[in-house]
Amino acid sequence: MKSILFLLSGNAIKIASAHNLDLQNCEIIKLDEKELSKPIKMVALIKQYSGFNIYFGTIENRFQRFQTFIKIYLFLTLTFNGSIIDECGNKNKFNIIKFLFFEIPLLFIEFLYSAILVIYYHFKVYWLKWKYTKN
Amino acid sequence: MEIHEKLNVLFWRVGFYGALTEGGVASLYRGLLDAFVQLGNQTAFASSGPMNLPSETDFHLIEYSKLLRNLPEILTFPYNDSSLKKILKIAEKFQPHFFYLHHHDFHYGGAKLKEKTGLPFLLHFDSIEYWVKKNWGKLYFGNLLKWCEKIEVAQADAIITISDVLKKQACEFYQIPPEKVYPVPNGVDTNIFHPNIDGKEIRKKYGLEGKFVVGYSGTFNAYHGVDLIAQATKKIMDNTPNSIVFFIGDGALREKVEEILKHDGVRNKVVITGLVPYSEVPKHLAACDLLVSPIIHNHKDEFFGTPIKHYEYKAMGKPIIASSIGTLKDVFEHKVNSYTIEPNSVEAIVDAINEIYNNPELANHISHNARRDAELKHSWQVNAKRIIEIYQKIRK
Repeated sequence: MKSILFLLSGNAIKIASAHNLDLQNCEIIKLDEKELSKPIKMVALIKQYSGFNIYFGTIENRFQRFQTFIKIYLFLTLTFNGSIIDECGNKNKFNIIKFLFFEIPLLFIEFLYSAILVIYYHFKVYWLKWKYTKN
Repeated sequence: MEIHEKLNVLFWRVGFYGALTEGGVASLYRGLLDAFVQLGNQTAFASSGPMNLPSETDFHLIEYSKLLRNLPEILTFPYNDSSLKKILKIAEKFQPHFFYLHHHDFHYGGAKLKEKTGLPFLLHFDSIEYWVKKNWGKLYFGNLLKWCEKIEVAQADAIITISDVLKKQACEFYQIPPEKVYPVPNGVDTNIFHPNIDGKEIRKKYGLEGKFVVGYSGTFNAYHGVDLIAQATKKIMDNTPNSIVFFIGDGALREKVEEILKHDGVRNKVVITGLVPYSEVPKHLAACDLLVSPIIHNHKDEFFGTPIKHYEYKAMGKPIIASSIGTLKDVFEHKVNSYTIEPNSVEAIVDAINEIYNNPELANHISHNARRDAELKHSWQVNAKRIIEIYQKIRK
């Protein structure tokens, strides 16, 4: 089956080599990380390649943001064979159980925690600004 | 003979940049740290991601929280506290004479580190983050961002801006006393970028042999004016015999550039390399006969940047065609070390290339002067010495 590599960062040859991907049978599509914040565009893009093996390529998954959103787009397009892969050979594979019972609840916790952080840091930084700039 | 005390310098990069080890900031610190080491100083570097730095530098990774990786901006808030704990331990062990922090949005850790350690605080300020977010990105939590920037600029003992223009803008925006702001433009490693590099291998690789190669190197984004070169490409090829445009780089405007080239029917007649590893950039520049940088203004404000590529261009000893705007007026002098053009003009690019092509004497003259400038004014060693001078001044 043909593969699609959405290249978020890094070198496609290194990524392919780390995951034994046949580049002859793989279309590489460069994708700016900013595009991940556009759900309609992302869903349409992935849908365009339904039936293909879908990969999102990065330099190193450990430092890649927005991985849960990538999984959401894979879920919405029913692309259950999608993965986030990197130059080091790491693979974050879409798994429906992990997605529904771990990653989505964790995202909700992240939203909640973020809301608390926004409020807390507005107070804290306002106070720090007063403290450090009063003279 | 020049004598200075050997210093321990702690560098701190706090922005989230993933695992990218290339790009302007990476080049800056690779060059600057190498220069500090060459001058006999000890260096330590703490960063949120991997870096390719000189082996003599003591590197420390201070990672962002793994829980906060799906929403923009917010991940930086708690990083102020978590990174502070770690940087304090590094400072305690390394005993720096001063610390050099790369300014980043929503970060106020420099003020806290200074308060806790009493160390002199030098802030590397390459943009007003509030302005950048408002004009180039998306501005969330604007007040919070301004407060953080105010804290850092108020507490820094010296603010190192990358240009005079940025100094002026920052002083006005945050009411900073001008006497604590020191412009130190970016630089270049003149041993890595030099005129004796052989570009034959790259010419062969991309089918550039026997052609007059017009080169552009850098990020494909709005202010670099890469779309102007794309618009000029057909005319360049029509006006300058046997010429080819060689785009070295990649970025957000890649799609737009490709569209322009396709529309003009020249996509198949140019080369776009995509992202090139930093170590390969000198060879790519060496493959060019001239280098172009048609930088445009930042929205309505004066151009404040000093892109590193300009110093790399100069160090290569190639004829340069560049816009003369903002800070670049100090870098490029018409028919002395470059051929300067008015910004936003496709015609000016085309005419300038044609003139350089037809006037080899002028091309040689400006190339020679550009290289001399790079050696005398723009090397990282010059910048490192300047930073040490600033530290010595604030220490008094």
